[in-house]
Amino acid sequence: MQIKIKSLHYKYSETNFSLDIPDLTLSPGLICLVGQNGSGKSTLLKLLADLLPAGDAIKADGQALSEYLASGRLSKIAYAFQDPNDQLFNSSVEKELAWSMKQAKLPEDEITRRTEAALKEFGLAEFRDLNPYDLSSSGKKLLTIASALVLDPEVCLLDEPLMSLDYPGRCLVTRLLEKRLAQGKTVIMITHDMDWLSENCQEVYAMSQGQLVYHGPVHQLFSDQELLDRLGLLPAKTWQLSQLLGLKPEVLSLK
Amino acid sequence: MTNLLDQSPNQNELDDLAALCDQIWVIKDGCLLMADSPQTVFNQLDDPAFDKPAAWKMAKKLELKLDGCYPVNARELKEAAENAN
Ligand SMILES: Nc1ncnc2c1ncn2[C@@H]1O[C@H](COP(=O)(O)OP(=O)(O)OP(=O)(O)O)[C@@H](O)[C@H]1O
Ligand SMILES: [Mg+2]
Repeated sequence: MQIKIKSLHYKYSETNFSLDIPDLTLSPGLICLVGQNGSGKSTLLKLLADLLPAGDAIKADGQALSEYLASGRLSKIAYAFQDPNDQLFNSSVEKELAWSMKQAKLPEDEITRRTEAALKEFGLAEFRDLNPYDLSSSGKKLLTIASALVLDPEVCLLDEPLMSLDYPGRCLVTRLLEKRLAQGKTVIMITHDMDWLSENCQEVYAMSQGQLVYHGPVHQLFSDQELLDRLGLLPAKTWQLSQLLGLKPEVLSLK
Repeated sequence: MTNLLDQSPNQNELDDLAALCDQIWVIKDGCLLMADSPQTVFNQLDDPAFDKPAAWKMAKKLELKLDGCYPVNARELKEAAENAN
């Protein structure tokens, strides 16, 4: 599935913030989005999830995004919120997982099968009857991601999926994303974690004040001090340490 | 400064901890596993639930040691590299 953006303009009525993206084509693979707080990353992801109206400016396989999703393709694009409290609302972990699949009208036995698999895969089985609000912060974050991935979407939109996760949680999410990418799916994710980016991502998009100001390889972003300053970013720790030791080329990954 | 490590925070925070703290306390499943200097904690703690600072990983990759241990922060890593030259 291919997503194209053309002349996308979005403005919140309550604030002066506006987002402008003239032209962008997103192909399958991992797409990482970085940028300072308030630069518009979540707004862009919500537009791509059809949670904010984009009119004809976003097209999925040539069709306006909202029409594309409305015509029985609800499960093609899934979205996980930055703040789990904005997303989770069912009375149990199990119901939360099943909810999006019910909206997408998946058969009941398939919903049960996928729910069980996700509970196991995300280590949430012992919490199945718990109210999502009573999960730990990493448990909530994992549940938001699990609720998106159970749809087995073509495009997965993840807003800061690594936030509040402990190390095993980060390893788990990384592994699951790698699995999806190996199947030729698209993952579009926001992160502030330059170390994860450096280890796992080849290409990155950077946003500033509602505009995409960089698209290219991670190493090129880390090499451009002026751009980093403008974006308020520091390169990955391994990159900084390489510079300290005078290593060339700088180390991007210790994997 | 003492910091509580309850399953690893992200890489950046770990590197900051290793540079700033006198002691790190490591808690897992309600048990205090260790309470020691960052050097001792990151060189002795062998538990897949916890990550290591980037400086430690880099030192391991480059086989750079300081007093028989892998450095845990940038300052120590630089010192180990200078000693090796
Ligand atoms: N519902 C809303 N109504 C009005 N303004 C909003 C709304 N949501 C976000 N904004 C504003 O739009 C701007 C961009 O917000 P957005 O959440 O997209 O940023 P972000 O890059 O995701 O930031 P962060 O890294 O903090 O998550 C901010 O100035 C924010 O205050
Ligand atoms: Mg955001």
